[in-house]
Amino acid sequence: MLLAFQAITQRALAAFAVTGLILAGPLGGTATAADDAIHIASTAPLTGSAAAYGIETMNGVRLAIEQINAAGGIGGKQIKLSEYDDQCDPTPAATAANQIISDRDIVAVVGNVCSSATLAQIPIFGRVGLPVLAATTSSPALSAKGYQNFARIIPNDDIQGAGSMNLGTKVLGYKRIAVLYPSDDYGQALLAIAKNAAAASGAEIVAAETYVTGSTNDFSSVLANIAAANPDALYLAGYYADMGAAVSQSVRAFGDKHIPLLANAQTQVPEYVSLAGAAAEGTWVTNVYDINNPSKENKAFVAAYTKKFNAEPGVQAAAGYDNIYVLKQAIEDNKGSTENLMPVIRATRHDGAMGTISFDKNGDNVGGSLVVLRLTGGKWVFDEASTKKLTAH
Amino acid sequence: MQFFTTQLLNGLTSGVVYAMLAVGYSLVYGILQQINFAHGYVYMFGTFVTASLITSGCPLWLAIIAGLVAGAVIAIAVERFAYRPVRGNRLAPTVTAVGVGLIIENVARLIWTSKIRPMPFPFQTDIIRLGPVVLSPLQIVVAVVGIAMAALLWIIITKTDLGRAMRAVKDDLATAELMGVPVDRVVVTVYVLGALFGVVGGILYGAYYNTLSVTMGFSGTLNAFTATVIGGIGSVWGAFAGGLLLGVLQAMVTGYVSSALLNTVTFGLLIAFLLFRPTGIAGVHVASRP
Amino acid sequence: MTADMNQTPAVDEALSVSNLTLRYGGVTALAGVSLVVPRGAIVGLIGPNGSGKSSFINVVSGAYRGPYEGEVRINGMDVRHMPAYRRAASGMSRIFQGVRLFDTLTVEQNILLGGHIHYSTGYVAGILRTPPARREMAARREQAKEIMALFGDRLLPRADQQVLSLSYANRRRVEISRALMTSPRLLLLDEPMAGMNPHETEELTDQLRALNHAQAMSMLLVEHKMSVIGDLCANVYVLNSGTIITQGPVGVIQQDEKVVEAFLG
Repeated sequence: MLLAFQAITQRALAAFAVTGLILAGPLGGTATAADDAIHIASTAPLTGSAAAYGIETMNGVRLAIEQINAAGGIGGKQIKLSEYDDQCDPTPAATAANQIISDRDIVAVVGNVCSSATLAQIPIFGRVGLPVLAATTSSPALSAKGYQNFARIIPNDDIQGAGSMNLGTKVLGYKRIAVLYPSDDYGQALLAIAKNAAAASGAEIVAAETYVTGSTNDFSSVLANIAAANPDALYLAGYYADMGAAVSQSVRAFGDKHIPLLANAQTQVPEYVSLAGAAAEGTWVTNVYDINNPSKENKAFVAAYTKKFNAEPGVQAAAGYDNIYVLKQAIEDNKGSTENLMPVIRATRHDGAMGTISFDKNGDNVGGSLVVLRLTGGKWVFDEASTKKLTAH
Repeated sequence: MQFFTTQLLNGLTSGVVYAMLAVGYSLVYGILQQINFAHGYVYMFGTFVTASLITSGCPLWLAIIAGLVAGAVIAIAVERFAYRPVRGNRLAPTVTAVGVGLIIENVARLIWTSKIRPMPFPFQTDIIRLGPVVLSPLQIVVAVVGIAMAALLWIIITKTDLGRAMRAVKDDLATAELMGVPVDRVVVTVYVLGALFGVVGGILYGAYYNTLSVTMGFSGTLNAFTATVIGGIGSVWGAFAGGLLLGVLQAMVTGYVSSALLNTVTFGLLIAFLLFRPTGIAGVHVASRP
Repeated sequence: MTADMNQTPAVDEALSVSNLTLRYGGVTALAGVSLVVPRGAIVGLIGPNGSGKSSFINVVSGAYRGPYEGEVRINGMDVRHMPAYRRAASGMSRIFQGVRLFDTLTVEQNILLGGHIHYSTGYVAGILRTPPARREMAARREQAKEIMALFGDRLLPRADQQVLSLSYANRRRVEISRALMTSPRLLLLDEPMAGMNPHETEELTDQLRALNHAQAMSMLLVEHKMSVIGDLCANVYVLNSGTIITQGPVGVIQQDEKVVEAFLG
């Protein structure tokens, strides 16, 4: 009985291993490249629940490579891309990473979408010193660990969170800020960011009110507290549904006194507008990308992407696209060499579809690519002047 | 003083909403010693019927009536198929109630999706100034409806033949039936009354907070259930008292202590009452029957 | 809605039970019991403790819901599938061994409850307090007052008291009043005199006789006090171990050796 069980287990494990290898992607790589191309790998969720994000990112990556190769490549060398599926899951992600490091021609990894998958991969890539230039992974934990081979295209959650506060204090000049945040980790983190951002810009948090998401929709009492603190602006540091309900109830607390609203990217959804109603008009948000950004880089990107894929690009596509162009510029800055690339990547400054991308010492986008939008007439409208002022800081 | 008044009014308004939702628990518990776990889902459904009809341009009064009817019909179905077959059993109705609640919630998801939606209702953005105090016309609506519903309940229980039959069934179900009370019909009427109060509460909830979600049947229930326990489960007047008390207490804790302590206070109160005064402030001994 | 149930079927038997057999568990509580209460008669049912008298009343009144063999007809109607409240509507009421009242209601409210089944106004009209509903409520209260008046000044001055505050005899009177409020043509009385002193017993005996005469109300009387049985019943059934061992006038029964043996044994 026990023996039979072991036999079955061994067979199952063997079958599982074979399946894993097949799923992990191309097996090639031990053979040395005969061509004179720049080989890069991309790892993103191409199947599973996050596949939509991964595929859109990959579309941005493919578009950029196609454009660069058509224009003669990087210093005359074509880019060759190997695609791997990490399923947004640490286990397949680690398998893919092991596949990638066994291919000695690969000089960089791009396109990462999921923080959890990327966290599992970075140490593996680190063993062979392979640079990772991630696309839309946003967890602060990735850069906090001080990995030497990591950089990312979009600003992390902390920098995004500080964006709305910086808009309020540095660009719009508000001195007294009230914060409404959920009592969970997300809300606590945003409150801490708000406090730091306020301290850094000489503003003051005059009220910090919290609520338990999902257990109440009644914001009248916390809004009365906020109104009593007489703030210049209210920072909405929560989920769009709660923020929509709170804003719709805010007229009762503030009467006809207008209170400017500062919000995060996740509030930039139609549901917030429909829940909050007329009171939401004028809400400011900062985001990492806006399709209506009128910069020439973005216009060119949107036109090319829409032509090729017959769909409007979102932040995923823009990040994947800028990802490749940042890499191209880094290799050019490195005089065409792909050796010791990471310090060069971190020193790169690139005007892309998203905006101006540059990095700090941990490989984080410093926030120069953030965009500012304002709810005007029920629509989110790109605010070019505020965007320029915010990213100039 | 202005701040105090504002918070008091906020608390009383929430309290009325809690009370409306709590009545559905207390009425049923009072008569059958059974916690009506499907209640939240029933009033959620009725409230969504009203909300979606208003959205689609139906007159307000008609939408409200349709929501009440929907709540009543579901209450009848739940009583008939989930409660009546297991009446008298202590545990089984809890299980069937949770099951039927999930069915209702999933049907609601199919019809209305899981999206959180606003409740289109008049007066939502209007304000009234009473000196320094800012008031919403909705708070007046909530207060008037609350008083009217309390009066209606008082009339039903003390002034009608139905109320007398309900109290007789509560005292001694078997004897009431032998004396000619159609117990099944009275019980179903109690469920319907609970559902009607619940839908009224749900509509007020949606109108005043301007937020509806299919999960309100579960999450919106915590405060209502706490109010029921504070008031004394089984006592409908206790449900009103508990609702108002909880609403005002929450507003005062938020206003004068910290919003971070709100759930601590709510749960603490719930646990304290369950441990030290399970009969609630009304102090009714619910286990009057073996 | 109850109007058609109140039509008197053309039968002269208020209660007719034939071959009633009742088993629960492995126990046979009643074995082929047949009993008739003629219209307008008071019939006695006696027997030692545990002989099946209460089981019999519970089957007839619908308090017992399980299956039984045989047939029970109340005012001519087979009641096998009739829920208890419909039996009340069809003209049967009962009182209980040990008084059973609604303890949180007043005297008047307890009595008024007996009228519930005859309300012609619906719940909604009652809540809206429409003129017909108000008229009916007033009429019911008048009727309750008349019933209370049957007991002289025992209940009338206490109409608004909680029943828990009453004496045992008065509680019994409330219970009988509540049964009368259902306008029964058949009344099942399960030991009405238990717990009453001789004076109260005599008074209630007279009142039952008066009811029987005035309203031709048929009664089935289960009673331990043989003097009461003797005063009220023309015909008596004797139940022992679930079987009717004899029946007849009281004088005859009391001489029957089987009866003596049953009560002594």
